[in-house]
Amino acid sequence: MKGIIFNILEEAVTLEHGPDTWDDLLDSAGVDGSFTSLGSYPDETMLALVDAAAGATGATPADILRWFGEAAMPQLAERYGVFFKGHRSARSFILSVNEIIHPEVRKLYSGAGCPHFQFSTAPDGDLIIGYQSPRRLCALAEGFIRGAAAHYGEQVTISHLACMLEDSPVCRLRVRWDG
Amino acid sequence: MKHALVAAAPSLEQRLARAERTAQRERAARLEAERIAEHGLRTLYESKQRLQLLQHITDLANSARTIPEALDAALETICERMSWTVGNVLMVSDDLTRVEACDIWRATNAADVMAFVEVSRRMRFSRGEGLPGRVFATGRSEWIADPGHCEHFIRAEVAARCGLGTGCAFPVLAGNDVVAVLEFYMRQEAPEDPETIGILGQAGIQLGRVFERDRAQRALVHDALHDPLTRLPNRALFNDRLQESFDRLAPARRHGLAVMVLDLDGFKLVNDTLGHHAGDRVLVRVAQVLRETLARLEGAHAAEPADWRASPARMGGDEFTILIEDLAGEDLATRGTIDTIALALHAALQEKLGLMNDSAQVGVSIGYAIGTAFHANIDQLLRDADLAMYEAKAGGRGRTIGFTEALGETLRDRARLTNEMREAIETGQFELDYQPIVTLDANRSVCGFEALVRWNHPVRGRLLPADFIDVAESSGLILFLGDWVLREACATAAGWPMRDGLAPFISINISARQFAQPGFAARVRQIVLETGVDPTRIRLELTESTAIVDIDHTCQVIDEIRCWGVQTSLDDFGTGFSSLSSLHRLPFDVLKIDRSFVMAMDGHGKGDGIVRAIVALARTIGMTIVAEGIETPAQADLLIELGCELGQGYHFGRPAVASHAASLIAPPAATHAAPHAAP
Repeated sequence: MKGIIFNILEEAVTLEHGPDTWDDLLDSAGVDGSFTSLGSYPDETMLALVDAAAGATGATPADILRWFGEAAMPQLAERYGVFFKGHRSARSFILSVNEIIHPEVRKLYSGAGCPHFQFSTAPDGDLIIGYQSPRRLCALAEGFIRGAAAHYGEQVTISHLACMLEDSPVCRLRVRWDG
Repeated sequence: MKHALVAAAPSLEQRLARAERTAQRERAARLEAERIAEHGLRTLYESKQRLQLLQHITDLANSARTIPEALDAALETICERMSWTVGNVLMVSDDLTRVEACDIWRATNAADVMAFVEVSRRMRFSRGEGLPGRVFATGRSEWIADPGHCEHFIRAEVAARCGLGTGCAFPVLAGNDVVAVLEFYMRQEAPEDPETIGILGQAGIQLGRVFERDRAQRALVHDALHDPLTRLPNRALFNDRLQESFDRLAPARRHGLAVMVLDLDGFKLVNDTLGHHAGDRVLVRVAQVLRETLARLEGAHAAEPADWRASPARMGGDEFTILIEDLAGEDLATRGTIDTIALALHAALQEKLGLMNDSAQVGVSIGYAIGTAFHANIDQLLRDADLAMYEAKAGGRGRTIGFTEALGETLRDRARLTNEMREAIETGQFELDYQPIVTLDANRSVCGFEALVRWNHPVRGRLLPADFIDVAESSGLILFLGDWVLREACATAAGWPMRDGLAPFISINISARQFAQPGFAARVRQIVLETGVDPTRIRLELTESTAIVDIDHTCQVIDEIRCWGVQTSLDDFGTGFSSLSSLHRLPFDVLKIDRSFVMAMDGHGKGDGIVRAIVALARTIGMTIVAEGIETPAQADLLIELGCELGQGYHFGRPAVASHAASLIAPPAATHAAPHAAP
């Protein structure tokens, strides 16, 4: 996993819970905590931090990831505003992830294992997102979507039509824009 | 100051605050370093990608065999590597007025943009119209933000429907010419990117090289297969097309194919008298007339086009050919069609060349041959058409002859006879007979002979001039034969004794080509010297048509040989042009009245009147008269009465071998001997 994710996580935790919480988290996860955005770190390090956060708050790891995804979005918007500027809604921003955002990620971090999302539109207009990754971070994706909606001042309802965490081969998320 | 700094030992709180500030600085420095590194990495990555893209396009431009192949591969590469959703190619039309989509396109997400692709792959844009038309007009790349809502974008409605957010088009340049326009669209709204535009411009130049290569290649092939002057297909291309057509047809169906050979009449005269530039102008005009006339006859734009197709070619010099294909019907109908084409060509050439000052006299002789099962290859078909053309040419100007089996047979006979004649001259198969010419008086004494050539053919027996002179003339062998006749006759006459103090003369026929030879007079002189014949015994017979070809030349030669005593005789007077004015100018000594006039005499009618008129005319200008073909005593009497001086004919003696002729003049009493039968 890329160092930038750890950097964003640190910023989100620090912003919401103070710098000490981050140090506590590092300590309880047994992680030294020096991450540079351009570096690569074992996925296990991230899982250890998520588990530590879950243990400390009593939430599930999925809840932690959802929170992180949503909380990361303002940080990302600050660092990478250019990806947000060209869009007038979360929908078009989300649709640009395969063609614009992930290719940009690969420019910086050669060999980054970015997931590919299958987008389609349901007859009622809902956005259907297919996701498959050995990391099984669909909850993080869900959080990102919420964060993106919030960035554009929109409200969404996300439901899991299928989930890899429930032994489905792929995850399918339905995103409905409210209002 | 120094003292103060040293003095105050920092408290724990202060040290903590400092450590936090240090951490914040370090953090800020790390973020800045990361930003700088990211920017560098991104720039490096992008320029590497661009170079790879350009390298890839250069490679495929070098390796592509065709333009569509190169464009298709370029579209795929650019769409893939630059994340365009749709790519489409438009080619510049042949007349350079617009760009036209050519059904070369790519769509990474076809279903979503199908409506846009369907419209785009068939569209045409005039110069300056729409995005592709503007790129065509300016030769510069153009970026369009939000094509779905751009008033300068013609396909805005469908672009909006397909959710396209960005468009871009760039020209493919061969030299300075825009030869194609490539356009790309994506759903995202991407800001105008000078780097991308730059790299696409470079791609356009690389792709342009495929067009340049193709252009050069086509020019080479075209030049190799076309005549540079008339722009018509040349012999190589004509033969290719003929071969292809010939091979395509089963032998039994080859009558659907015909070859027409056209040879200009009077072209050499234009070239010789007016120069090659004038000649070239005529050739160009002829090519144009052929093209236009055939197109009109084919009726390319008519309601009912012809079922046949014709394509002209220039074989070289002033020889043109036309390949006629898909002829329907049997022999007669086919010949009718071709004759119609030929007639139209004659008429059109006469009309169009007639308008040119320097080529009004140029016409065309046409020969054609229709394919048959007997033609083993195209050379035979071409040869037949050639033979027909020569036949047409031999018959005069502006004629058309179609090859037939009968014509082929005649021509083959003639060719065989030509070969045999060549051998006959070498092996001495010719000999001369001598027909006596007598005085038309009571004595009827032999005063001379006409030498008449005979051919002792090893198979066909003894042939008379009528059987072979035409072939001798057309093959040019007449020069050798005529020369042999002249020498042989002179040699024979040299041995004849005097008769009553007079030397019998020898009348020798001279052909037109022989007489036209530059050294003719000198040749006569040489033969006279070699054979030792008394030149005053020689009378050279020229036909009227030979004499008037070039009257100045005729007069000059006659005057020259007359110096040595050689006389000349105007043969067959009255059967040709009989121009009285030229007769007056020609210094002939003798005039021969043709046998047809003698035969037409009946003692009181028109026939007598003509002979009387000729005699009177000859007398007026001081010519001796010899009447030919006298077969009856009545004719002889009549001619004497009309005032003819000399006569020749079966009545006085048939042509006979030299020894018999000699016997006629040896003893004076032998003049009334029975005529020796000619074979």
